Amino acid sequence: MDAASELKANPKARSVKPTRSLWKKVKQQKALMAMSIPFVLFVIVFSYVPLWGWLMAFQDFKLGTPMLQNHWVGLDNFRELFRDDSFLRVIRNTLAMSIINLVFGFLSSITLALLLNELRSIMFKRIVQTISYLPHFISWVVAANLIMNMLSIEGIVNYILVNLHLIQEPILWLSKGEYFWWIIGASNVWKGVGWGAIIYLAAMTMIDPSLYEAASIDGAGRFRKIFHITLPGIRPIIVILLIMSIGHILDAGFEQQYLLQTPMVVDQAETIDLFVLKYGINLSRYSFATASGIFKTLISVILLVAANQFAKRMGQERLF
Amino acid sequence: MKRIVAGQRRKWKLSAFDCVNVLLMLMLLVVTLYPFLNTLAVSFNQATDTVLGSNFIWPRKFTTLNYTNLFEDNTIYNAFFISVSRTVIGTITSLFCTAMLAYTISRKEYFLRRQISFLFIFTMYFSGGLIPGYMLIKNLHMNGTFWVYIIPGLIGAFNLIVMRSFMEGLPGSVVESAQIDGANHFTIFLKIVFPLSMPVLATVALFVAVGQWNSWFDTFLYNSSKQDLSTLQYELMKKLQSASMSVSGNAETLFSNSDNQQANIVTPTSIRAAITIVAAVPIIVIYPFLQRYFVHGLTLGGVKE
Amino acid sequence: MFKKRTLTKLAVTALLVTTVLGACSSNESQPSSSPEATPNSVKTASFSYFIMTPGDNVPEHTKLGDIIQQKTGVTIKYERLVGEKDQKIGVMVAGGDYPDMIFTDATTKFVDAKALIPLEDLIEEHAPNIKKLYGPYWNRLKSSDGHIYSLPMGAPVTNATKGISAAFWIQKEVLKEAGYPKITTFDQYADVLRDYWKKHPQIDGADTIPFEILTYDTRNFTLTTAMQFLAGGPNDSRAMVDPENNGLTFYQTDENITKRYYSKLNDMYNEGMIDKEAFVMNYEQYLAKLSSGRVLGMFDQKWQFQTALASLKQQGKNSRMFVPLQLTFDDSIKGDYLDLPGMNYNTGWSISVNCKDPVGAIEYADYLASDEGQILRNWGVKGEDFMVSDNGRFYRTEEQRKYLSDAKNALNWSGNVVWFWPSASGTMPDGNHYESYRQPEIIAADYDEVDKEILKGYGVQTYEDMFNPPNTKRKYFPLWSIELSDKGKIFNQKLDDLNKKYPPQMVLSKTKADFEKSWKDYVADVNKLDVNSWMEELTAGVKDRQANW
Repeated sequence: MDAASELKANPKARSVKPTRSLWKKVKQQKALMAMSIPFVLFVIVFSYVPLWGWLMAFQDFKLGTPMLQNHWVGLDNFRELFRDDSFLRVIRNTLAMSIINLVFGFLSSITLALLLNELRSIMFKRIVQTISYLPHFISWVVAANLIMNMLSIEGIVNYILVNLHLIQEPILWLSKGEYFWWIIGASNVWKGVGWGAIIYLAAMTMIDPSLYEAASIDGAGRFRKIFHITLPGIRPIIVILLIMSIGHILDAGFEQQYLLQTPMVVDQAETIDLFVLKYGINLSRYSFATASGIFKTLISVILLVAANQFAKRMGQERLF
Repeated sequence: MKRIVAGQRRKWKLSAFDCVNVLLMLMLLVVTLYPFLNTLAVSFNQATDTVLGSNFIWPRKFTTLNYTNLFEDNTIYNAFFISVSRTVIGTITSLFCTAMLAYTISRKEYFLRRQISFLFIFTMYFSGGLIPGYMLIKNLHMNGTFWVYIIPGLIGAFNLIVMRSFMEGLPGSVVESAQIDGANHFTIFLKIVFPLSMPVLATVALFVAVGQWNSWFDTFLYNSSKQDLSTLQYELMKKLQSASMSVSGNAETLFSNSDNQQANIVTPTSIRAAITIVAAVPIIVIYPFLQRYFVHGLTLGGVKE
Repeated sequence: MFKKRTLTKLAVTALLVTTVLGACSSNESQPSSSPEATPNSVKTASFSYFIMTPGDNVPEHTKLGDIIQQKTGVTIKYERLVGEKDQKIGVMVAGGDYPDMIFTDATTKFVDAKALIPLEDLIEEHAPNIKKLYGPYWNRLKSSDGHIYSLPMGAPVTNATKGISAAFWIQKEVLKEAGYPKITTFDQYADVLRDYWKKHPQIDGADTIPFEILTYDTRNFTLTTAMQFLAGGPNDSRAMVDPENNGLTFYQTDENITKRYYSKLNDMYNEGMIDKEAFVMNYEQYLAKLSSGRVLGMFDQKWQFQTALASLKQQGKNSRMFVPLQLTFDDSIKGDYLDLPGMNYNTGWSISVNCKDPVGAIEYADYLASDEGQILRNWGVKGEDFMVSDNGRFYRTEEQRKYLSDAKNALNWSGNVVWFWPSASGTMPDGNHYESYRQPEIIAADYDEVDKEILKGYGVQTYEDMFNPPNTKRKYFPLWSIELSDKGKIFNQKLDDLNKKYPPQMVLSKTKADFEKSWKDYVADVNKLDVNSWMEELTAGVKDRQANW
């Protein structure tokens, strides 16, 4: 599909000397530059300038003291983070919940989008689309309360399972550490499936309808069309989103874990964000919080670049 | 075009797949509708009754008190207006700027496309922190103005990349022929790429609009003492925290409050339900309107071949 | 074509709205530091006041606010906190964007940032009423650099009291059925609960819950601090203090205190007396259970379950409401539940460096601290908001109480902010309480028939009478308000984490061997922390307060 635009990239330019070719490009592409450089300045000002705050990570920052007059402590804050007894546990929980969220989040949203796309009635499709994204607008506080009610002894989950004779007597779901990650995963799917499907539905509309017609003429069935036309059609966006999500692997969140955790599952519930909230932000330890932020950024960038390279090698879409 | 496709589909038989699919969707409807109905019911239920447990989808003891509590203060109407304004203006400006930038970095010949992409993508994974961000806005003299709602969030990296990805997927031939006709990039973007990208524009518009509508943190940071620039979410947040305070604050922080405030007590749970509804309904209704662009895109995509 | 026109239309609309808004905002983009602060003209001064606790928007005109404004000529522009307090403080300090006056419970943070001005000279010169109220506490008010930066509310004067908050609570119906027995120990308490439970295994069709525990989030202090009361300590929570020798006990790992309590709870759990869901429910589920009327008892602080009480009253289940009890492990221990009247230092009203007219500010605060000002703020206008009986006692009629109990009326009456100024707690020279909610007439008016019966059964006037008066030797009180170092704060958080994890395991132990193991693990983990430095820090704080207060 992109063959045409690739042709356009002037192949002769490569043979000319670097500086001259650069100048030539600038001249040639001044329209594109005019349309993009202002935003480059924008992002530098609004996102990169505040990075001076990272200096805090190497200080013992006290509120009200001018930035550079704080006591410098080198890597002490990082050391404290890595040496904390709970650090490994926290990383484990974060990764576990992130991976569960990533896998099931992607699968559920893509599946929903595919199924919606197969619905015959446009009206019904729109209704499902609209209603399935409602949970996105329910705050975690409200959602957590609902979930805890559903999982209580008299809740609907126990009621159904007991009546189906799948369990003998009600289970206290939130008292068992081994269920916690899955409860988080399931509630994430429930809350995010409709919202997540939107982007794939949009992607599906960009697929050339003539492909389906041709496939029909060839006698392709429903499933073959899904797997040979629809899925490949949205593959670029899936790959792009996947790479971006892999970079977010340490962002398992804190709100839902904070709200759904019980004293019985603290060892499974604490994520790195929750940990930093408790030991950094809540105690006004800005330096410690910044240090863990930098750590997370480093991991993110490494994973992001790795995933991108991997995709490149697999001949897939690339992020950058 | 649409009609032809639909007509063709009607010829297909209802298969087992369709039945299962519809069944699955119905189940999904139940699961995703329940929390909303429940919240709606709680918002119309007496707080002292809700305390007993909130597993219901129809108010047990009907009241509108939770809502009147929110609307008794006139400032909320102005806040609503500001929220609508920021959502409309913020979405339009963001959509246009993001699309324009996305167009440039979707052009394979653009020699800065990778650098710019990375510059933006990277921003998703770091933050300078609360205080540096605040100082920046303060030094730009943007605090206390409406623009603090619009400008800092003008281009979101995620939306940019999503748009870029879609635009890269557009058939190159369209742009090609325009270029041969001598159209410049801005014209191509405005006249050809922008209209062809309706589905992704609708998607990103939804993302931006929801983000704009739901945000309250910028009000908290920059405009908290500017009552006339306060946003709906911020005012609702204020109501919620105030309600939490008046039931759980100890006697000293409550001026002249005895146990006596029975009849019209509002609890955080009830207020939160009402707030959820007030905050969500205006933004939820835009999705069905945007959905039509999902189909339009298809038609246009068909036409151009 | 259609597309293009829509776009143009949208763009035009956007432009229009933009210009309108732009015009609006440009009107008020004056220097942001101290809005509308007109310099020194006494009669029309205006100050901004940020109150670092959440609350409703303060109406422009309130009954009391307008009266005060007329008397002083001063207008206050209030702003209340929304969102996270620490974040707000962070950006306020970083940007130096202080209002003229601040109410905060984190005064030291502002002092460290040099955001506040010292008050002592201002008070000496311009504020006789404040000097009168706060004079006795002059040294306590001083920050570590020797200056006074903030004035907390409620300086104790004659007859200052604090109400009951932390207690073991028992359902009124249980007391009634047992014939109002004298209950002083935890064992007796458990026995009374058990008897009722055996006789009434169900209440209103649902299983009776003899003892409930709230363990959700940070509210789990109802589990982890209850035992210090049983051992005779007050609401100190961090450690137990012997006021005679200023010695501190780290009760958390004490076998005679903490282990004893958890072991008892473990027995009760295995007997079926404790709610199975005690360790998996959230706060709302806890309130739901209390509101259902099937919970017979729990340890808690009253402000946590006000909502449940309101709900019970609404349902007409007055006899399912709760009565506080003063319990100890055994009768050799003297209960010490009531808070010693005192102020929360490092908290209160303060003037920022941005205030252009500190004298005007302190004079205004001084008016509010006068008897006239305080009566106005607490009681309102005589004859309208409160009555005076023939013998000079202040009271409110049924109608007046009802009016003010409506949240909306209260807001339009006082704005819910006039409390946040220097004030006294206790009685005026004429014997009436400054704070209306401490006036015995007001308290008594809240008792219903069931209460009256119970009080008669025990031969007391108020529930407070069933408790020992606070121990005045505890000058340091409360321990939890001692400002900790960063290290101390981290220790606190670590201890909280362990206190969250282990006690449920102990209470749920199936066998005594399991219990012992959990206890040992808990003690071992606690001892891995630097308990000694923490205790030293607290001991130094206590000694300093005992000597200087």
